[in-house]
Amino acid sequence: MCLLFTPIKGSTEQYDYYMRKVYVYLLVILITACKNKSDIKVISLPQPKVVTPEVLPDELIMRSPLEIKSYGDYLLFTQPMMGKSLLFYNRKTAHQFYWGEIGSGPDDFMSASCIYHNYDDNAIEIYDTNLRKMVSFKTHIENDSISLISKERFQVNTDSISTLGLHKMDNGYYVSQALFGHENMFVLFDKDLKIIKTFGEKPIREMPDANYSYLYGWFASIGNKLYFASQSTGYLVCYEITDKGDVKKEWDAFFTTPKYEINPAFNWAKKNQQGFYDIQLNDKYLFLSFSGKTFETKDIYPESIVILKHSGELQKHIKLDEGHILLKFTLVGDSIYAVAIDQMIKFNWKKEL
Amino acid sequence: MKKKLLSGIFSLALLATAGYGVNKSMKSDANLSDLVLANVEALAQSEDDIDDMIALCDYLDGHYCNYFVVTPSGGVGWSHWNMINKY
Repeated sequence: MCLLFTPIKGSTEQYDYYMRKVYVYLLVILITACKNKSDIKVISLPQPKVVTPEVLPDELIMRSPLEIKSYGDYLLFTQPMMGKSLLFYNRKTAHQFYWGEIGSGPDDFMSASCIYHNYDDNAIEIYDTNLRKMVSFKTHIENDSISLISKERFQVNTDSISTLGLHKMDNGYYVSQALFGHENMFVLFDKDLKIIKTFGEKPIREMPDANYSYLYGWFASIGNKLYFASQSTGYLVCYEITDKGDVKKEWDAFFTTPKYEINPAFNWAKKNQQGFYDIQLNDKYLFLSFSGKTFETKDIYPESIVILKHSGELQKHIKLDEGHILLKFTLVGDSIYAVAIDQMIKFNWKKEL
Repeated sequence: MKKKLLSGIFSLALLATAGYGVNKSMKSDANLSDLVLANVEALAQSEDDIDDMIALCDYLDGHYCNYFVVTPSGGVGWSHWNMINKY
C-alpha cells in the first residue's frame, strides 16, 4: 500500500491528499469489520431456577410428536407415528386413542400438524406440509372418544416457494415458513389460503440466499401479534399483522450467538447452538423450550423454559433438574405438560415466576 | 422400480430399528416389529421421496430433515419430522 501511494515528486499537497484518502479507507474497513454482522441484539440468559417436574405415570405409545395441543380434557399429539396422524390422551381418565391413517386419501395425512383448534367450537384444522393440504374438521365427543368429521378441504398452492408448516392467526390469516425458493422468510395467506405476500428479511446476512432450512422453527400468535422461534438457532422475532394484512416487525433477538463464517453452508446447523424446540403463549407471557447446545455435545435437547412478556422482556429462566428434558409442551392453566423422549412431565410454571 | 422401493423400505426398516434403539418408546411393552413396520409404512408413502430421504436424512427425535429436490418442472421441498439432515 505504501508503494501505491508513494508521493509524487515535488507535490506535497498531492501526497497529503492521498494519505487522507488512505486514512478514510482504513477507517471504513475498521468500522465494517467491527460491526455486528446481524445487527440484532443477543440476549444472555440469567442463572436458571431449577425445578423438579412431576413425571406422569401414564405411558403413551408414540415417537416424539410434532406438537402437543390442549383440547378440553385431552392432550392432542400430532405425528405420533404408529401409522396414525393424531393421538388423543385424556388427562383425567388417562384414556388414549389414535385418529387418522397415514396416506394420501382425502382425510389421510403423511405429516399432520394441528394449525387451529377450538374445543368450544368443536373445531380442529389439520395441515400436511408435504401434501400441502389443509382439512378443517368438526369434532364429536362420545364415550371418552373423539371423532373428526371433515368439513372443508383446501389444496395450498405456493408456486415456486417450498414452505414448512402453517399457522392460523386469530385475525384469520395463515402464515408459513418459506424454506426454499424465496428471499423472504415467511409467506402470508388469506382466509382461503391464497398467497397475499411474503415478508421477513433474513436475520443473518451470511446465510445462503433463498434457503431458510437452516432457520426452521415454530409459530405462536395472539391477536395480531405473530411470534416465530427458530429451532436451529436461538432467533426469536415478533411481527404485527393487521386486519388489513399489513406486516410490521415489532422486535427480534438472538438467544444464541450465531456463527457467521460457516462454509459450506450445511455445516451451519452442526456448528450453531440449537435454539427453541417449541413456543407457546397465554394472554400474558411467551413460553419457549430452549436448548443452547450444539451437536458437538452429547445431549442436544432442551432442559430450559424461558418465559418472556409479549414485548420480549425476559421474565424467567427455568431449568428442569437432572434427567428431564422437554421437547414439546402445552399450557393447561398454570401447568405445563411436556414430552421428553421417553416420558411425559408436568410442572407449575406460575409459582416459579 | 418395485425392487427399488422394496430396497428402500428395507433400508428404512434398518434405519427405523436403529433409531428406535436409541430412542425408546414411551411404552416399554410395545411390540417392536409393529412399531418399526408402522414407522416404515408412514415414511414410505412416496417412492420418489424415499430414496432422497434415505440419502439425505438420519433418524433423530425432535428435529426436521429438510431438503429440496430439483425436478424438470422446478423442484419441491420435503420435510420429515423426527429426522435430521446428514452433515
